[in-house]
Amino acid sequence: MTVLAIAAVVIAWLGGAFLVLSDARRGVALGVALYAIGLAATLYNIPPAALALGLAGLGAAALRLRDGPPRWGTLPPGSTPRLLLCVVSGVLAAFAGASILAGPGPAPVRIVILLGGAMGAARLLSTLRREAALASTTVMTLALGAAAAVAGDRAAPTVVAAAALAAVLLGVLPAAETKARGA
Amino acid sequence: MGPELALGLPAAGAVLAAVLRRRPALALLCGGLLGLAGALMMALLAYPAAQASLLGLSLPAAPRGLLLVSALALGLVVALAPPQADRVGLLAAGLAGLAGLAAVAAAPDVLAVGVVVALLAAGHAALPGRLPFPTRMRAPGLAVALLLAGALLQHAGDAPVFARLSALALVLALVAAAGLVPFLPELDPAEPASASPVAWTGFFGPALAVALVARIQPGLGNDGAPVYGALLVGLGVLNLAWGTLGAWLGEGDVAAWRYSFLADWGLALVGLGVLVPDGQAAAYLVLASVLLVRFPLYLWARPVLLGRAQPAMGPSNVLLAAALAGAAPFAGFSVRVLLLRAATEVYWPLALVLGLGMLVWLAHSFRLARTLGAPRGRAAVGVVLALGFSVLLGVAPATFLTLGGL
Repeated sequence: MTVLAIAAVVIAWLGGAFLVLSDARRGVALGVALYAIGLAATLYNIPPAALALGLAGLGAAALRLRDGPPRWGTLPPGSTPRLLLCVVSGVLAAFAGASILAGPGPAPVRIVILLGGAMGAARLLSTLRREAALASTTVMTLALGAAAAVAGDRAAPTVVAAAALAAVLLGVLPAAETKARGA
Repeated sequence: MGPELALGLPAAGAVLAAVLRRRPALALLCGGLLGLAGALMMALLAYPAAQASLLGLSLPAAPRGLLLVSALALGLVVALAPPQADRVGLLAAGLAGLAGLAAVAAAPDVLAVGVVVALLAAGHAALPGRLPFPTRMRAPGLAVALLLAGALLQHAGDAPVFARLSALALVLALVAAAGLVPFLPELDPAEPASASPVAWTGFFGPALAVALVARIQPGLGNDGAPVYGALLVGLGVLNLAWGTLGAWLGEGDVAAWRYSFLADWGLALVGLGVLVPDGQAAAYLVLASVLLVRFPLYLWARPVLLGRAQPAMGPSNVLLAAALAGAAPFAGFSVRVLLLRAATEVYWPLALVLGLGMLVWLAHSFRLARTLGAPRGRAAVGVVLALGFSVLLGVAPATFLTLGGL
């Protein structure tokens, strides 16, 4: 792995960690943005996919900044289990992506995809905050798009475009819960 | 550009219905017309001339057939909704769901299905409701992660273990996407109908599952197929047992209805898992009956479930109990015959287990039929139509099977 690839994986992991460890809009948005940058960097040999997913991730992160609690909310009291989750996810994703799986694509992309899926799902399953749930779903969607890009099937460009569009649309959904009307 | 229109017209209808929400009559008219046009386009896709697509999309026959059934079910529940129901909300959510389901059906691979499921589930979870967004997003979110894992494992290498693990992840994704045991979402009885997890399992689930199966099966290979089949059968039996016992003994009538959906889904999963034509046909029919019979009846039972009307046990309720129990000549009977035949063909002790589940099934049917009270007006027309569809599925299943290319 080149230095660039290792740096990209670390940036994506940091993004996942911010997503898992943050309870307010700035931390969550930074997590999505860092993950998108790391993911785009590992996809450097597929420029259209890197550009589409990177820009969509940054767009979704910018949209996440518009609502939710106006703080960083990173590492709130009692976040030791989440910190452990980040470390364990990072180690396991690196091990599985580099040593167990032989495809699709190069190892750094596989690691970043695994990080997006695992940390996004872990955050989604454990949070009660809407902005964090939306950001987690965004990260998983970007990972799906990257997996399609490196799998290189005939429909890959369509799936990458759909994933980029979905990431932006998930960013458009507001962080405020709406009350029920009627039954 | 047939597939694009089949996808775009319901989406445009959903947007228009949502925008015109303050003028309900206009919203229903515009949304209804666009939804009808979308359904017609889906029907026309049976002809090769209409299948040409600008974006290279294609809607396979089985999911397309169930999409048409979903459109019919949506028309039924919106046109004949109980008086206090939010019909515009139902129509907008249903049309958006139809567009999403058409996108799932047209998705070229499992990863694309994951993208659409993420968006569809987020849209559904964002509907005004009583439970918070993250709680409603958990099961489909997990499904998205499992679809990603399954797709990655499909490309992970030539070792058989990857194919088996991929099949495991994809089957769990299917079950999570439909909101079944062991990924049962939280239920609030007072949740609006369109935002309820029952609507997800009863309306979005069937076409989603059939579309997902159409994408999963070609990539299974010889190593993945046995794991796929065995897991589906196992989870099917689990849902059947959980559903029948829960609907019989569960606390609260809303929960009983939700469990009854699980029982139907149990039969569908077993049918999909046995991998013989009779099983596939049974699964298709039971999912069609969920859409056309159980889901509309659940909506018409809501006035009693929400305490706005009194439960009753008149002659019509006895007939409804027979339909819900799967007695001849209603839908469940043909499903049971096909499924038992398929199970006997594959592994006869499975037929015994299924037979036992079907016997326990009888216990909850009267409980559910009671909650429909004494239907009047639109609800009475709806109940008659649902019973009519149930009879049609029971005596002429070939009509629906032909629609799905089976």
